[in-house]
Amino acid sequence: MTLKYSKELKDFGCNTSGLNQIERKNVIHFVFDPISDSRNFVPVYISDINREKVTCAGFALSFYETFMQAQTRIATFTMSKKNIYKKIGTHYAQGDISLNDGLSDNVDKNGHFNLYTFNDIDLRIKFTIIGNII
Amino acid sequence: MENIIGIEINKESLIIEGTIGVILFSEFPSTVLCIDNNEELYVKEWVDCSDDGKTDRYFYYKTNKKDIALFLSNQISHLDLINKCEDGFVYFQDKTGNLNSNYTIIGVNKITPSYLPDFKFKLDKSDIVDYDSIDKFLNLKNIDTSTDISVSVKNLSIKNSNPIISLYFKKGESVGYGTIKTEVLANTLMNFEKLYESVTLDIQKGTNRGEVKKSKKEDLQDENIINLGKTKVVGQIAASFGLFLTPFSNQTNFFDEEPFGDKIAKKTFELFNNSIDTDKLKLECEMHSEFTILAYYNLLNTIYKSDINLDFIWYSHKAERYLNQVINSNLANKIKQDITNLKSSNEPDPFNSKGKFRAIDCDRKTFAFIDLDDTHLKGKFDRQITKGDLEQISFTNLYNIKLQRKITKDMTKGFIVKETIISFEKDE
Repeated sequence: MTLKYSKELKDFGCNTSGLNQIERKNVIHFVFDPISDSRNFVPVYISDINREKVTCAGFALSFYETFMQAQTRIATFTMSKKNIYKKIGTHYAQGDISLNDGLSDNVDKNGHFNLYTFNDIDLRIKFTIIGNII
Repeated sequence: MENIIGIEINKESLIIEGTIGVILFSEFPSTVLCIDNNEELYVKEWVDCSDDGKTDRYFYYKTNKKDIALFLSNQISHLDLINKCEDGFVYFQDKTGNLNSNYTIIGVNKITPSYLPDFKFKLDKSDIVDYDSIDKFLNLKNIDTSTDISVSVKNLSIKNSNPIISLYFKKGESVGYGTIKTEVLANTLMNFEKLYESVTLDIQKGTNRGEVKKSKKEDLQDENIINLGKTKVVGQIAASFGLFLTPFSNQTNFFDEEPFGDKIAKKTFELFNNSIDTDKLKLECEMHSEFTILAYYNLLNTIYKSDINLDFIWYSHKAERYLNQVINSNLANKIKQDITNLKSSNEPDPFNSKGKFRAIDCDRKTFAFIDLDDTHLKGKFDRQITKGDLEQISFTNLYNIKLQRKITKDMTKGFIVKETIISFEKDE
């Protein structure tokens, strides 16, 4: 299966050999309401192609293993950047990631992991808004 | 997005050549260390975007290696880093796609609060995205970020030819880099000054003294004593927040080798150092007046309530003596508790005084008394002394009185010194 943004990843010099297919349930992603909003589930370097590229993770989607971890993290972000919700999302969405959705890196100490989606994957149909951030 | 009012300058005025590394956050690069075409360090902060997300707002500010090192080692907060920007102003710029607006320059103190990090925000080292590349570029390990305030104290003592007392506010929510909440500073200074003054009076007038009121203008001896117990501010340092004081008057008696200020400092710091041990605190309480212990209690209460970490330093270049004690809010609370326990369980020994009564209320059995050292005592007569006894008192006679002194807790006033006259007799 091919990564959706394999060309962009290659052009930026990203090494995807350390990534794995994973299965995780009830993970959290920050979204805008409604779930069909065109900004949802699009990596930042794709939604904003002119943004200065500094990390491969810009071609991936951010997830948190648990709701509590997502809440803690957004609280930290907001202490540093009060308007961050305007950029990354106003709501929490919850759903399941399956093996065929993409390749993931390891979960970090904040419960965060990046998912590089495969072609033809639309996670909007697999996630549901469960609460608002602001 | 908020309206930014400032001076507009051409976007060619600041050319950011490249990115050294992302500081925050891995999920969303919002604080990035950059370099301009003159190899000056700048930080780029994302702060806002339009409702459709198509226009992003950033501001840039000039910084330096040391401040970045201080920030990355959590010695200064993110807000401090911004406030310390070189030149004192920031460059705002809006980016829509690949179009960049001109810069709008505004003073750092004019940045709207919603664009600034919370003062409580502390950097977690694990959040620094590109620490290695930043370290490689700046060689962080070779940047000296330590603030040894004792060096500043020593240098100032040499320069002033006087001992220096430093109150170094190392940590606390109300303490920033070079900033401190006025209320916290004022309370700490006032309480320290009261303690210093009280120790002075203990040395000059004895520990069984009464309260020394502000002297009358013609009473120069008391005015000199009071001045010996005063300090003045001679400097400050932005390293967290440090304040330097010196004795207002540090005279030496003709027969005494040791300057008076040195004596006060020695006794004050013995109290600080010994009070951390409960047994030694008990001895200190016996060596100081109740007024001094009360002043110390109030200072500890300020440290505890303000949740600060305070480093007291005293240095005399002439005496080549260095004294210090760190008291944080936990230690302050512990010593406070010890003082409370000591005061509630120990009945201090009665003591004698000689002087004249200034006021008596025979019905309420209260008194005001001034002793031969001009210190003031006030309180109540013991219940065994009758109203008839009080009616015999003359304001022109000298009396020998026996007093019991206690520090008691008052619900509204906090701790107060209570005097009780156990017995009195006319001095023949």
